[in-house]
Amino acid sequence: MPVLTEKRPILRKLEGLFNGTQRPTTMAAQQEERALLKPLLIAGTTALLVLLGAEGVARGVMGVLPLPHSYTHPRNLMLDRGWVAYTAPRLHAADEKLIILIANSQGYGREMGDPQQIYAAHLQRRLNAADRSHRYRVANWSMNGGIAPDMVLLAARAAAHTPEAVLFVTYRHTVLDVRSDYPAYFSNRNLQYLGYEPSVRRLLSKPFLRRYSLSRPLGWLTSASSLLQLHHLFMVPGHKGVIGRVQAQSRASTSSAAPSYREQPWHPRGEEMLWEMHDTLRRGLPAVPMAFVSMPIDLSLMAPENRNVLRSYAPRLQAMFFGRPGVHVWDGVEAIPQASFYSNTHFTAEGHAQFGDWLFDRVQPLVRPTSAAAPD
Amino acid sequence: MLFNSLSFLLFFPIVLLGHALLKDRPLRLWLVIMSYVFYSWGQPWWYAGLLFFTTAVDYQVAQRIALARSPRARKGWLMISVIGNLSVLGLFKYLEYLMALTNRFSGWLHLGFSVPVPDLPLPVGISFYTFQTMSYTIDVYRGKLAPARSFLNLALYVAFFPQLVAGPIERAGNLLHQLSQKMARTSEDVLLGLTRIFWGLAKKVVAAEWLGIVVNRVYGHHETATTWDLLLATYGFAFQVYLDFSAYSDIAIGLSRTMGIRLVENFRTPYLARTMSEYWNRWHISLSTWLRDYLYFPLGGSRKGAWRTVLNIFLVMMLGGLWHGASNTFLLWGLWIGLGIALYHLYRIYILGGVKDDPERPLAWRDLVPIILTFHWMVLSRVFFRAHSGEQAFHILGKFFTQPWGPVHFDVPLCDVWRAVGFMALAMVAQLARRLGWRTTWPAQGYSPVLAGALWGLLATAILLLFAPTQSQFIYFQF
Repeated sequence: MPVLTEKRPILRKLEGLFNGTQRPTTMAAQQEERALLKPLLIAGTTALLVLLGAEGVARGVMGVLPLPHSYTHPRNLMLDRGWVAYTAPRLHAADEKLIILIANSQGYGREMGDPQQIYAAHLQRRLNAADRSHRYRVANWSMNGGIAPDMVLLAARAAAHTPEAVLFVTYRHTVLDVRSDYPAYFSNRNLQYLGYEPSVRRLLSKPFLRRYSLSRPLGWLTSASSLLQLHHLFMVPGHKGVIGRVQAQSRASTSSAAPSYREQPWHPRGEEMLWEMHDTLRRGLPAVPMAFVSMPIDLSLMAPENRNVLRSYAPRLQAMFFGRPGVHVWDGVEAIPQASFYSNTHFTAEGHAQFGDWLFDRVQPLVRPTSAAAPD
Repeated sequence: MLFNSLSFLLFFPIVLLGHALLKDRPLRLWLVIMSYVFYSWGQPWWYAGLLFFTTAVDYQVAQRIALARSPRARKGWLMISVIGNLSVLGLFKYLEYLMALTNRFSGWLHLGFSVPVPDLPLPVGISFYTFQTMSYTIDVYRGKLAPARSFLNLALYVAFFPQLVAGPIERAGNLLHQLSQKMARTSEDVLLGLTRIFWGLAKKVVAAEWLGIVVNRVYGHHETATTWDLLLATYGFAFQVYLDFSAYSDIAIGLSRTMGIRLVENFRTPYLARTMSEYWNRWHISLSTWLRDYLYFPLGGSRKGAWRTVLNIFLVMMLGGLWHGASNTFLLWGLWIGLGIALYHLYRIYILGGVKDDPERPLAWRDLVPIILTFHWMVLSRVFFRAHSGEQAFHILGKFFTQPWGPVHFDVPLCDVWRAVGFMALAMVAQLARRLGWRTTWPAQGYSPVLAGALWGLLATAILLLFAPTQSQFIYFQF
């Protein structure tokens, strides 16, 4: 009878630790083990082949799907769904001057039917009309409900597109406040996808990666697999989903069918996220001008009345970035001092046009410098 | 540790490696150690201590019962086990509820006193393993079972990780016996076990989680939710809890099967039951049979007349409800199910003349109305099961029955509505297919590796494409 243990000294040692000489020593036992392994190998290989086949099909489907693209759409359908566009290589023409606008619902054109009436489109028209020698494109990367972590991701992604300038148009609540009624579901998904995209990830700071748990062992699969990209597109946005780390929260919950999430501060109060946006962009684009634009009202109050005109945010931004080379701070209150250009909580068409004109006056010196534009 | 977590993905292959390398006593020791690691993962250490204590007490008691010479001594030892187990359960699960209830009564009756309400944590799976150990000592007492040959065997029976936290509640006659043997497995066992694990995972992370998103959203805002939303969420929860719990059972059975252990089935197409009595025999079978064997039959079962039977049913279902949780909602849930069973019992006695319907009879068209009625009785019971309080449950039920419905309108986004309806329909079709014999039960022999592999691949694809963005624990973990 052949003795299995003689051929496998390492296994013999291992088993000795636990079991003395319990390893099967007869041919029958050896065959029993093989009988177990062979079908498992066949089944595993078949499963892998099916999975690879599905991945291939998903890749094909992704190839033919008309995905919304930041350069071909005046506004994207939310980063959440259109994020694939941001992983594309630079698509704008070499002679085009690109301005990347990173904003939220106002820039997205919430409550506006016609995307051409959004201030981003207005700004693009004004730039092209003012300078016939170049073509200008304003890439509107605005997200409806986008908050600070999304903007940090987009700042990192902007590096792949070599823009002339990057504009961060923010409300105070976008970066400084924590809105308790806003589960950052979309942001979480954006983080899970873009956060593992190599060109984005290399620019994100370690504290940022830690804060949003972007170091899961298999996390890279989310940006590498077409199946998972397709899965992402199936996630029709609309519901208020669940912030991650549900496991610990549900454990803490004492009731059975308690809602499986609690609101949690999604980004820290204070200026940390503004610095993340600045530093991330600087890491990717050291010389490109950037502008922080404060929106004129406090959207947290959801009432565009004169008394809600926000006067404290822009000074705070100015104090933060004072003396930083290539960083501009523009106070949106100057653009629309009155609340007459709001329909509900967002601009009317007139409000967009006025804001676009105001932005044009400030952006034009950055992208066609006749003399060096001094930081504000 | 959650089955649907990365840590478990690493944990289980380590267990299997040990299973492949070890045999007999070292293997049992290995499984006990890993079961305690599984149980203690992310939990306070004393939970595992409590589990060990319960096991040790019942091991000693069973030995004493077997050695005792007089019936009185045997009974005495049994009482120690029963009282001990119920005390542990009562302390951690029911004391807080009882104290709060006492204070409430004191307030109502203006007695002018209140007792302090302790805030004790509830160890995970305590109801499951307590019932399991109690069944062991009772079976030894009844002479149906010899006491465990070694403490290790019993420790493994109580702590066996696939079914420790949320069942099935195994009888010692089945599980202890297998764990004391060689734990031999065939390739079919391994293939089938892995298939059921994939199947359970898909049910959990795709269907149950997506339904949970809708249910949590609506029940979290039930005051402002439309009646249509509440209707969707109530149906949704009925399916969520089924998919969630049956997924756990599938995974538990699958994990055990890969190690050569066969656990009992916990569900048999419960939503196609024709009567509430049949429903209760098809839902959480390991609990319903436990209650039947250790509570309903000792109370006299149906042998002492129709009205005594009704009383027994109510008693058993009330305790069955409280087994799930110490709250009025679970009590009401149990009573509601009990009412359904009792009504059927009286209908059978007084209208049908005591004729017994065969629960295994194939479905026929004439069963459609009874199935729909039973299903909706069960769905209504889920309002109590899901609600945080009796007030919330009655508010929701009040909305169903007193408010005008108006045109169909959901505040829940339409995509979530369709997704929920789709998963509910799929769950129903799957049950129907099984009940009508289109899909047979899981095969025991001749399971082709290629077929198994293809199924794994397809299920993995489905999971990757459709998984929900949540990762919540199984609903029955808290019981």
